Amino acid sequence: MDTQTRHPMLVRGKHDELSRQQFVHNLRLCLAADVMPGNRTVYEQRVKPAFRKKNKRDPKNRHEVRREMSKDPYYRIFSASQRASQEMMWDSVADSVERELPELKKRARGNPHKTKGTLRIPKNFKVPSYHTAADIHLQPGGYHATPDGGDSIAAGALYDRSVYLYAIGGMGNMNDDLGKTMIGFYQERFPGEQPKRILDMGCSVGHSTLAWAQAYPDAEVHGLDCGEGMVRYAHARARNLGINAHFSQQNAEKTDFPDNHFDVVVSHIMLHETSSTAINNIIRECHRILRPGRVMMHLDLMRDQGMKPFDSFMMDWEAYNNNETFLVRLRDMDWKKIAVDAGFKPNKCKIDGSMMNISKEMIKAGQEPHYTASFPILVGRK
Amino acid sequence: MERTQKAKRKDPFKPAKKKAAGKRTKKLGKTPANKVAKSAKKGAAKRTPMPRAAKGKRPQYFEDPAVDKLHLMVMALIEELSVTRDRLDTVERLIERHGLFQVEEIEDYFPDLKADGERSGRRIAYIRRVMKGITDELENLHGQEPAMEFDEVVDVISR
Repeated sequence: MDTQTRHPMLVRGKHDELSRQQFVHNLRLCLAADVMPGNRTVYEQRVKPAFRKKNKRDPKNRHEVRREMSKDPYYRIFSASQRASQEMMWDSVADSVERELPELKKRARGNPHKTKGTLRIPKNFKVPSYHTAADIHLQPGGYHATPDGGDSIAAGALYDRSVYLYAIGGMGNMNDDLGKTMIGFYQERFPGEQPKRILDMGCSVGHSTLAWAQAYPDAEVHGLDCGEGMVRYAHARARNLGINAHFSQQNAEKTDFPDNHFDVVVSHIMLHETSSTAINNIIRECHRILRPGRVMMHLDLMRDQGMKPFDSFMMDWEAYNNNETFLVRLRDMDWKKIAVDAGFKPNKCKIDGSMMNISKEMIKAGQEPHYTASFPILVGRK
Repeated sequence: MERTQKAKRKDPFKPAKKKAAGKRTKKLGKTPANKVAKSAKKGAAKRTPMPRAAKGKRPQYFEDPAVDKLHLMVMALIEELSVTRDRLDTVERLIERHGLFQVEEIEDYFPDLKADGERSGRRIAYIRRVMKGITDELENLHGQEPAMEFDEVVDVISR
């Protein structure tokens, strides 16, 4: 069921628009619950035996599995349908945004709760090539689109509603479960810390950023993103929710924050949307802006190492079919080495991990969680 | 027999009086209602179009790229059917809310002979429209002369 919190900045759908969005929501649920698991059956019963017969061995890695599965009619129709659901998702929400944009912009200018959150947009910001090469997640125009001019919030408005549909509500009614996951992880691993300044890199609409701001109301919480429409919307969203947070359009590779500034630097599934060069720059930047003894944490998707070829192949789906291209490279990278190269001491950084907060809460309540896989988190203490 | 009956019946889609309908269209030009429609149109033209296509090469999932397109069309049709069913559901719920009748009455409704005939006629026309692509070639087979190939037609018109 679609229970996304209808906060003042969330785009409101007219009858048929909403119906299309809810159709996509249900379609993705059916694809995930009924169709996607069939890929494993097809692989075990049909694809792997055929490969074994021909090669006298099993496929040895995810790329070999992909080559074989890509020929299978079941996987093809699954992929085509999954891809279509993503395209239909953006289109269904774009209808509402297009219609409601002037109204949304009016609301964006208000500050009903008199929050102190600020917004900074630089004059000549250069959107990095890993954003402009292909539109990430197939979001038409990308995170950086400004179809409605200089005060654009369109990309953010499109994203806030769509990411809820994308996750089939799995990130909670405020899309903030990854933020809550990281906060839980931070409090478990670093008990008793009272951060004064927190930075969320690649914050998009600030859905995780605000979880931090709510957990630490006395802290100065910042969110940065390459997308102008994203941070403009994030700012408006926070103000309309009455939560204090500061947003700025910045590239995480090189920010304008001073050295030794933050107690916590985090990112929530941002790393796989960067590049081989950028990730090294970003982790180096984290080291620069962190106060000595303080921590960075970057949550992302499962690495290839330690995964069975088929599971690892499925984890790549978004990379090949949903323009999350760098994911393919990131999953093979030695994250710890990147941190060490950036200046973190080898005994002060590691790849840790956490289950999603929603799953944890369900287990606590004695329910069966929908998803129990653990997200890896690169942790480094300066 | 059904056909003769049908021919006698008034077409429900035709306006009751042609003259009156024509008059109304003419009058509309001067009414304030039309002005509102015009300004709404103006507003619609001002609307900023959102980008609709994602940059990046779309994977080809099937041997024939036409199947990829056909699949997208089927997906869109499934979606629109779902939207239509939702809209109908809304109508039913609003009818109940306003006390026009209980929605349960729909479940127990049996069309009378007249309604049944009308539905049947509409359904057959609909099915024929859908099946047209399949049955079209029969027309040529039943014709006096076999259908010409494209090049043959070109020859004829070039004479």
